[in-house]
Amino acid sequence: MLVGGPVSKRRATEFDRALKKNGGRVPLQRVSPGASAPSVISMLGNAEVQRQLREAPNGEPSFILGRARRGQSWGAVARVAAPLLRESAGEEEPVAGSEQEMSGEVPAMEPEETGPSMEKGPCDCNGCSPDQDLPVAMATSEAAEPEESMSAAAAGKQRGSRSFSLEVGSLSVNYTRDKRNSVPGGHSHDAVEVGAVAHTFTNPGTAAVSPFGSESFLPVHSGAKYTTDKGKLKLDFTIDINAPWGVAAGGNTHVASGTDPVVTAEDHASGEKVYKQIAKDLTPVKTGGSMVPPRDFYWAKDLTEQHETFHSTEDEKWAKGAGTKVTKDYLNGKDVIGGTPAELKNKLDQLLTGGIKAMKDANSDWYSGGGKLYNDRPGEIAASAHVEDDYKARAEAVTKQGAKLEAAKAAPP
Amino acid sequence: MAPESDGEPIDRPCKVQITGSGLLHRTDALLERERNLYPLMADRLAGRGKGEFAEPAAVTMGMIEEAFTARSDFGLRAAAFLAGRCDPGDAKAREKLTKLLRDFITSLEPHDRGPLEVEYIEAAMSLALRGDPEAARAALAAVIPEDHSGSGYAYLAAFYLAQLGDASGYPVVLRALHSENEHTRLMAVRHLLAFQPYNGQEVKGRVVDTRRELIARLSDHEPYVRVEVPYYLSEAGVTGLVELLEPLVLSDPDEGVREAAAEVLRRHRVS
Repeated sequence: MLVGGPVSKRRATEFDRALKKNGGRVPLQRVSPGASAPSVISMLGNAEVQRQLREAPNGEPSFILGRARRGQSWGAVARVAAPLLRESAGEEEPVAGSEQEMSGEVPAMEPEETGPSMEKGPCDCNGCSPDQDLPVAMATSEAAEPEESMSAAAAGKQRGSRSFSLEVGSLSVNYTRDKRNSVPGGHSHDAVEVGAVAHTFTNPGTAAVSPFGSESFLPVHSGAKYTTDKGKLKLDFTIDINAPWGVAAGGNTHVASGTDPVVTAEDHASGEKVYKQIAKDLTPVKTGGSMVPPRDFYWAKDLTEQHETFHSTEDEKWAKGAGTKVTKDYLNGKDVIGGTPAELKNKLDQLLTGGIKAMKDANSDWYSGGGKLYNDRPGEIAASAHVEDDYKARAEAVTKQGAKLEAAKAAPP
Repeated sequence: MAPESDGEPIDRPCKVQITGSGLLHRTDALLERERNLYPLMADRLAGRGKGEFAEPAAVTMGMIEEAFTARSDFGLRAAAFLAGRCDPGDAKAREKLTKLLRDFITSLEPHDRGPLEVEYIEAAMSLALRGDPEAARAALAAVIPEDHSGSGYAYLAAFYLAQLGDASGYPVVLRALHSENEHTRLMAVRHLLAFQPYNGQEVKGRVVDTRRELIARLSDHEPYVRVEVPYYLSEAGVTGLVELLEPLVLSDPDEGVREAAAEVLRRHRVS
């Protein structure tokens, strides 16, 4: 019986090849009832478990996985799932120890060396997830001999390798992967724990936008580093906060100050004197919860820039506070399944990208005010308040200058 | 006009259509929120940032379909929201929207949506609005954790489930109201509105009392949360608004909160 024994690298490679040939799939029937449900799901992947359960004719994947999620042992879950899976596969009730149950889908492993037995003990590697019950899975196999079962893990310990065990009833397959291709520390999977998060900030004012302006929140991650310890993968990274903004005139004329040359006492097409129209356009009017200058013909480019810059610096503050918490909450506790360094890097990159996406979504939610009109959104109220006094001062300066010009115009030469 | 086949994008305007869709728990206040959110989502789908635009971006079938196809980082959520709240004008295009939503939902694992959780939830609600509330209910229920732990966007799933006549997600929102993360608490406060029709009912051992929960958040230790509560108290039409908000106007340590409370009172007195 080729159960529970440690395997050579050659056989492990063959196993890899067989998995690939089989589309990377391990039949769910081969999972040991002794393994914990979360570790089974982590090993096979939720999608694969779902798929196999779904393909069972009477399967109820939601129900079964719901049980798994509630923390039941895989054995309890498997008792529900197994009949459905057998029905799906057209198999008979398994007989413990039967050679007939062995499938050609995954290669059996040759014993290489034996080691001491272990029921459920501390992981030999540099920390293990509490869910990681691989040794138990082996020890509780109906057909596996405990001594042999443990030998894979023990041998792995000696060689600095790591073992996966997938089995059901009398069937099991052990897979030992060289530590060099594993997560440093030798874990098959670890839970992410966010460590140090650094930030950078940039807010270029060069974005091409619609009038009068807008700002975007486009954070990315960089510089991710990880260490593993006791089943945790500590992840340090940087959030590069990019909040580009831009302004656009939309055909309006910029008024830089009260003494800007555009400020005249001539008649404007609107029927007002030019300076009066300017003052009207730049005087904030209560619009919803915000104070908004109407800007029908004139605008103040510099004050609009201040408004958009304010949005970007508010986003910076938000990202460093609530936003980072959102990203941390997204990442903390996520399982990372080991593999080659490249695979692990890819997985971590995906996770971090998801964490940054969660932050972007949260930023949009925060800004939206939960379905408030534009000028009632807290972000707009704050940004308009930030420049309200400057607008008022500009409008007053224009009025003052206009009055001076009118007086000069009226004065006899 | 070129014939449209199933495989080709149907690029026609999709005009805003926000109704109760026959769902009795979609109250006027909820519909008003959606009307306000629509332009934001349209702008988001069009790739616009935060800003005031003369007109919200026009939404077309092509934009929605492209977002679903590309699964774009930012546009997909907007597409998932808009697909249930716009009308493309003919039966074939409507079917196409429904298919986009259904295909997207079934492409994800109900119990682990990965980074697309919020898109999944929005798509599920849109599917309900497009006439399949039962499928939506099943999809949304899968997001609610058995232990009501309220992680991620579970509060949003609970919010939409409530609109489908199912208040079972209330404990998730309660849990989120006491999260250590102020953003989660803020989101939970915002989404209490959908549970207003259930006030007084018992849900999984908890009596729904949205007024009490809103008032409790007036004392949240973060102004990040407090600043929005006056608005939601007003939106919910709670009794005793003046008595609740005047102390805030006078003594809240945060200027933004004081101003928010004053603004709500000003409008309340005007109306």
